Amino acid sequence: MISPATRAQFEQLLLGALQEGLPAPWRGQAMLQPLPALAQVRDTQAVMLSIATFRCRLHVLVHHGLQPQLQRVFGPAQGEEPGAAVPVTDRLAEYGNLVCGAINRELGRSWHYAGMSTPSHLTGLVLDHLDLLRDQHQIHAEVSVAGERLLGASLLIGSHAPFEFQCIDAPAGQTAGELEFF
Amino acid sequence: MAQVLVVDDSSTVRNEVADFLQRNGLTVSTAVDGKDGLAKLRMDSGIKLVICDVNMPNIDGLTMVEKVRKELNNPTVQIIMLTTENAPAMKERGRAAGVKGWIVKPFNGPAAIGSIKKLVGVA
Repeated sequence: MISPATRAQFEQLLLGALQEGLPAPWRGQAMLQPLPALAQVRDTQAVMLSIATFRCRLHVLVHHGLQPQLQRVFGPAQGEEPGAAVPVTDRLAEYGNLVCGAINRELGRSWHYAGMSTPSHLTGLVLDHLDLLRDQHQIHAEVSVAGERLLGASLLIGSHAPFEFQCIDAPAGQTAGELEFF
Repeated sequence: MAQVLVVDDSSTVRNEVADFLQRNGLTVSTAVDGKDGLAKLRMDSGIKLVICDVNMPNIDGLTMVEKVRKELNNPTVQIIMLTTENAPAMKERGRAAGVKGWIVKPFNGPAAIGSIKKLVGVA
């Protein structure tokens, strides 16, 4: 229900969002690789978010285990209290939120009324039943840092009718982190 | 008594923002969603600034802001939204409810701290 060009746009969107969502010190070191199958990206756990629009429904998944590399990348930032007892799973949920948020914002530039969910933590076992979502298109990618796999990601696209999508070339009005006063 | 209330369902964001503000001399309390945020504002009339997410369970951020103005009858507390959203319609709803500013995540403390301190009245 989507053309190869639209699928390519979504893949580009996912890869960009995965990189931009990483903690700043790690963005330049990240390698992002599209992969063809869920089996290559799934892990023991996942964070899932959804975006609903009139044209399509998207599911964003961040697949992760509990490897030490995750703590190094997503652990307390420099200067942050080391005792801040925030589990890495919560930090990954926020990472998923940032990734899905970037995709949601880009969709919103072209379409009105895109609604985004909050993150849900899932066990990797539920991925055995992903077909029940009946999403027609699956885009998968792996994120590596310093040569080591960090996590996997999936963008699932379901639609009721054919549609096209293209990212807008012009820069977005507000950049991340900037305080815009009304 | 806290000067700033940080409202977000993510403990990562609550900790990050609160920790940064405290290291910059501000007193901070936190809330896990809009319902908790309203309860904290009812309990502490000294809060000068709320930094609030939009997408949260129970009561979302923009609904919380509207309730702050109408049900809590608090027209003076300054409110900044900290969210992944930036749709014009959402920003307009926030502006109409008296939101002062909007930050697209991730939080950039050094870029915002000067303005935050001015809103709290300590700069």
